[in-house]
Amino acid sequence: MKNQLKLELYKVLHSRYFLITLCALVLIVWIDAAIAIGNYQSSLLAMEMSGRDSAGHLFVSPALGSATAYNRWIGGQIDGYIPNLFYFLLPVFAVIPYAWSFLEEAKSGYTHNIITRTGKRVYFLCKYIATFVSGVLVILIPLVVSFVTVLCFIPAYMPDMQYDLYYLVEIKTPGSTIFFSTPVLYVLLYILLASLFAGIWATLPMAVSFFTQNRFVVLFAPFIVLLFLLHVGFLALYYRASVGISPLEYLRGANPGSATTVGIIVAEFLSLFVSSFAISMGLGVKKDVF
Amino acid sequence: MFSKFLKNDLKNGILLQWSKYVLSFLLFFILSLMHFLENRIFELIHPEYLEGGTTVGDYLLFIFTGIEPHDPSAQIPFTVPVLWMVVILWFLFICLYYPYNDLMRIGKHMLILSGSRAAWWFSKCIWAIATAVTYMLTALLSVSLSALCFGARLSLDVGAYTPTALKFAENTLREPPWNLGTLLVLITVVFAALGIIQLVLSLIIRPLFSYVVLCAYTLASAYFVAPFLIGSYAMAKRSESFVLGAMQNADGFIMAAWLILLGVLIGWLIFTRMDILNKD
Repeated sequence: MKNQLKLELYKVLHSRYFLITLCALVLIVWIDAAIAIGNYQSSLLAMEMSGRDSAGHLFVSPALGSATAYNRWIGGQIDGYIPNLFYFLLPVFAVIPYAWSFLEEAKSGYTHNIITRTGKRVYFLCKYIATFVSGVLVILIPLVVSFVTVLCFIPAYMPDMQYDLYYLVEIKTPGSTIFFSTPVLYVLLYILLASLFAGIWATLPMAVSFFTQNRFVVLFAPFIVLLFLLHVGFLALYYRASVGISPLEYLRGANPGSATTVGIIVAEFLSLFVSSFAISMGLGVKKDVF
Repeated sequence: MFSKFLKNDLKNGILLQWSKYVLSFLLFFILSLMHFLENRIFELIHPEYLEGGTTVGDYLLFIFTGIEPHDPSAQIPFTVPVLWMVVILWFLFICLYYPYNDLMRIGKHMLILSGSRAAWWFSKCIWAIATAVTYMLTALLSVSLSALCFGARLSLDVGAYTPTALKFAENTLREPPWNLGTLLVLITVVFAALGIIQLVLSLIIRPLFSYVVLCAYTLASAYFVAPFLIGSYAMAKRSESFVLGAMQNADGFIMAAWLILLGVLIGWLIFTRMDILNKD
């Protein structure tokens, strides 16, 4: 099993699609970071231009503390096209690198060769783990790059409660108390949360592959179904309970929308994981590959 | 020769893809049901809404509402118009697979035997436009049938309270009656242009990445307001038919027509020089 897992992970990290997606996402987060840093530098310049007092000190803008590295990385921003693009298309970015590999190997006959040597259980488990890892890495690395880049240029001021309107981290946001006490931990938690979701989501196409041979259906149909179900769920809850269920919103560190709870997050993650794992392993082991 | 390609594409690309249009029918039916349920709640708060009754136009307006232009300086966070995106992304998904699949299989042989790349390409462009028209006709049929089931009148007139129910800004809302018909035709042309853009991109960067790029383009159309982001013309909240000082329908027609023409020409130039035998 160790050798098979090593082989699968090697294929993930050397996959053309993985490298292209990763490079594109890193470029996207760098552009977003450049915009955030530029805006911060502009505000500093405006402050310098506003003159000095009789003692020669700069007039410090009271809003200076509202801009901190903890709300200028891609996950800390709620506005801006690039942060919205990144989180809205996160399910698509997660599946492009390696989620299609099981389908392609099954179509090409590669699966038959490997299963005769390793057994079905080992093959499907290693494939599942590798697909999960591909989803995690393709989102984790750009988010870390975004945070580190912003940290290099924007001061990591401790978040101040008087600027909570600018942070858009409200009391109802899971982990909000951590944001004002240990903001680094808050950011890392939300990076991990988004990466974990991406990893679990990347395994869904593997489960869908047992029902269709069309690569585009396998990769994109779950995303469209997700959007549709989220909107239906939002409307169903709109007049009944103010609770957010959309992962495309609660995966961000800043979210002014409806509150979500840890229970909802855990329930959604578990249901996705259980369904994809059960189908992949259950059907994979039971179904005849020949 | 071209007519044979076209007949083949219309048969295999639309008629034999009937399952996708059945799913589209169901999608629009469910969306209409959602509007019906929302109306029930709105009527509790605004009982005067009951006086006019609903029409098919109300249901169509709900589906293609979109969002107002986003103003970053207003400190209001951007909300992705998920419903509007689903309708567009589903259309892009429908017309994603067929051209690529055709080129990889029987289309390759037909190209070699016919000796005419132009016939294949122009046939595919017409297929993309026909797909957009078929999609909108499916939407119209589904919404009409479901609206009639829910007690609406068969009319494209929009009820006086419907824009209020859909949260149109009242200070910029045009006086009724509102012209929904022109907007629906414009939306069809916009969909055709998006289909052509996706067709061209799938030649250059593969269908997988072309879909991602079109998703990003559609989201950009929702976030920004620019003439070349033609998705904006497919939103009622940004249309001059409903909103004063909004985007002109005539501009939308011209821009979409230009994009279709450019897409067809650029795609033809690329396709005539492309290696199709080693493409995978």
